[in-house]
Amino acid sequence: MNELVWVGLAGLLTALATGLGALPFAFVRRIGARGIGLAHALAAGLMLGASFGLLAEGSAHGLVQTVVGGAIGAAAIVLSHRLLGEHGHGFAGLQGEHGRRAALLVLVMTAHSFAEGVAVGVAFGGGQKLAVMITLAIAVHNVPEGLAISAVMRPRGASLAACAGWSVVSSLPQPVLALPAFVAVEQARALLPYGLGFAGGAMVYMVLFELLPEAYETLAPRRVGAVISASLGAMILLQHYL
Amino acid sequence: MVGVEQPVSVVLAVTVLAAGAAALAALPAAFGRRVPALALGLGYALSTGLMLGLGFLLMQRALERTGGLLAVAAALFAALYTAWTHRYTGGDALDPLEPEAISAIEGYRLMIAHGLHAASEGVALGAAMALDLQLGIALALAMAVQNVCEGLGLASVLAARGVRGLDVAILVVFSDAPQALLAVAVFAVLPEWPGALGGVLGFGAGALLFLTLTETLPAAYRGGGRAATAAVVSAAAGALILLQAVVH
Repeated sequence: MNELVWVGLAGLLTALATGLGALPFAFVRRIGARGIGLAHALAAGLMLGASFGLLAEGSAHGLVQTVVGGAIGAAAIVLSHRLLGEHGHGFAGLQGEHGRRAALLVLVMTAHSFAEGVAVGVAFGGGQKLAVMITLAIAVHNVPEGLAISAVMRPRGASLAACAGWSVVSSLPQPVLALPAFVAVEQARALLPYGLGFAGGAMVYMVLFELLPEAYETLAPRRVGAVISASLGAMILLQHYL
Repeated sequence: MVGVEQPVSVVLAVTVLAAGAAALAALPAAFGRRVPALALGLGYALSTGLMLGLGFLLMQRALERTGGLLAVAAALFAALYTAWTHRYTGGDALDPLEPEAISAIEGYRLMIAHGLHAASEGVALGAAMALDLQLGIALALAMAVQNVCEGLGLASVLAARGVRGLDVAILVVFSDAPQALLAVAVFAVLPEWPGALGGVLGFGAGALLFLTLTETLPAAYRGGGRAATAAVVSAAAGALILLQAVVH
């Protein structure tokens, strides 16, 4: 099968995985803060493991270029937060309107998905092993994102299908961005370390800015450390033996 | 300079310098100044970034030299060991950003935790130096910066307990002494068991990761806030990884 199709399918798979976040709400109406904190810690470990793979692969192609790409990736996330922050003020007067709050959350999650889409596409440029690992990591990472969206929507009366549907929508930039990112690194191999660095840097920044602070809010540092060490270790092993 | 033919002396000199740099953390206390929580938080963020960058390099090299299972098992063992030291000392339950709330007994426990933490960093440094002396020396100098940042937290606690000037400096450096001792010991012993290098590198990486996740990063978020912490940690880790390109 054409490699482009595989890239598109991988991006689609990661987007669909976000919908799985709604699944627990088929059985319960609410998930406690500790459960969400645990999901954030697990996702942080998997994302750090994926970033390790991206940065290690990138540095094999060019260390300085990878670090430069990483800085640009982190800066892109900072910029997206700033832009969303400005939009957030516009929504401030609408607090308490459940639909608007859910829409804002979906918007935030959608903006995050851009870098993840680039990561999937660039990883395919780095070889099959890296591609499978990054696709898997991002797919698993997307589940708690869907969980977070559903945790806001479901208790406010949204249907299970709406929770799953909006979760998937928030990740649709992944298949859309994965394709041009893959084509770019295939056409200009010199871009590969920059691309791998970009994806790794963006993911590390997201872990540091979003996932870890949320995890520390509900779990003791010792538990956060244990969950991340175990999931990061599993990701490294997966990458090494896959 | 001591010749390259005596690398153990070089390692000793560099790691003693790195541990001794922690004395600079006593300067605010010496002038009777209290370090603001924001500065302490950013110091912890810088320290976290440097340790994560070093952990990345160590794990990368460990995987190159040994089976992934051994490297990861050694890293997980390091995490378990560090968790045990935390349980034993209770060090991770204490907040150096609120030094007045820490009792004298808890202060001693914090010093022990700091010393055990420094020992794990020493293992990481010694392994890095055994792998590549030039790179290891550069990393030790980065560790000197990290020691000052972390030393600020311990110095604040000591100053809040009434310890003054030179005594603060001596105690902070003393708690970092295991770093130099373990670095020299690991560097001296590893050539005898070259097969252990991958495992020791993995141990160093795992210890550094667990220490950042349980000690320095939570303190960084509390003092510096999430945006500044994320920016400083990312920049410091990137700068440390770039050291490889600068050295070679």
